[in-house]
Amino acid sequence: MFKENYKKLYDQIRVDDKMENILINRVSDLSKNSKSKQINYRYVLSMCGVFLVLLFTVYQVISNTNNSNKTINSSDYYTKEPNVINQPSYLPFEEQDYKIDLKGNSYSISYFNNQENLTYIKKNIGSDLVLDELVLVNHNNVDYYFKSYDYSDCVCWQDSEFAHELSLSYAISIDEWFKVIESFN
Amino acid sequence: MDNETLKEVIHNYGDSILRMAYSYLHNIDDAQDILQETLLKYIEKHPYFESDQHQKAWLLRVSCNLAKNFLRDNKVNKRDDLSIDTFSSNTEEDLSYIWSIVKCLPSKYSEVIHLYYYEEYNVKEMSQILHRNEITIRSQLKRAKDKLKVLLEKED
Repeated sequence: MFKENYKKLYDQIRVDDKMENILINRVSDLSKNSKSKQINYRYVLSMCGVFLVLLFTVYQVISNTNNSNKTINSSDYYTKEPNVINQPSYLPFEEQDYKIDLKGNSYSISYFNNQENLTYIKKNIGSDLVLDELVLVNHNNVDYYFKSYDYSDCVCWQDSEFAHELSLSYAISIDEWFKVIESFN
Repeated sequence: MDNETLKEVIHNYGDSILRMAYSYLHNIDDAQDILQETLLKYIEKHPYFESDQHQKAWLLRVSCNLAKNFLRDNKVNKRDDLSIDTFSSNTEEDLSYIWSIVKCLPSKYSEVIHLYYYEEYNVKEMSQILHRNEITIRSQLKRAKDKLKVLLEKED
């Protein structure tokens, strides 16, 4: 009995023609507005994307320009550990034969195995020293490439390709480096 | 979506959506707004339906959720603008007691009562529409029926 009466009650609630027309018009209008809003959002989002890409490109260009002109503070490199690689892709120098002239003296760069030499030996070196060329040093079966960065510091890489690109991953000061060399003589 | 499709949806399911919304809100204008929102959701989502039953269930579920959101957001108490007189004046017999009883039910009971008595859904279908466990629906339906029984006895 309740069910029938409940149905009778709710049967009176219905969408009449007037309501139907109003609904169709309203819903059509609202959905059109919402679609145009969606398009606007898409447009704004795509513009944001383009802007971000442009910003990133500009940042990269500026960053590359700065890097090429950058004066690298050697202290930055002291804190960095060298990347350990098993074998460089190629060896630019014959390490046994290579010689470098420092203060008019020739030093042969060869194998050395004393880690301590790399870390704590200090010596004052004249500021007129320039190491123009890459020097390969093998230490504990790891190749290191040295090159003067400026008049007082020497930079060191383990990867020959990195060295050629002047991408710096590790550095020691030239006095440390020089002391290491000196210790072999 | 063209107006013809919209018209078809309103024609097929408009009454059910309106009644479902009305069972929550007890106000024809608010129920109409829910119907409108439901249709907008339908246009926006444009879901794929396996059958007409699936489509109806989807529309009812959306209208239920929208009505609940409406109640929560507006913190409205059940309003009764479609008065007892409005109903009873349109019919030969006095159904006002049904109206007063239904109004007394909490929405969690009135929704299952409506889906069960008016839409004639079974427990499984109701659980899918209301996103509730079948056991929960079964127990809510039983409690709703018990409450109805008490109210009907009082009315007598």
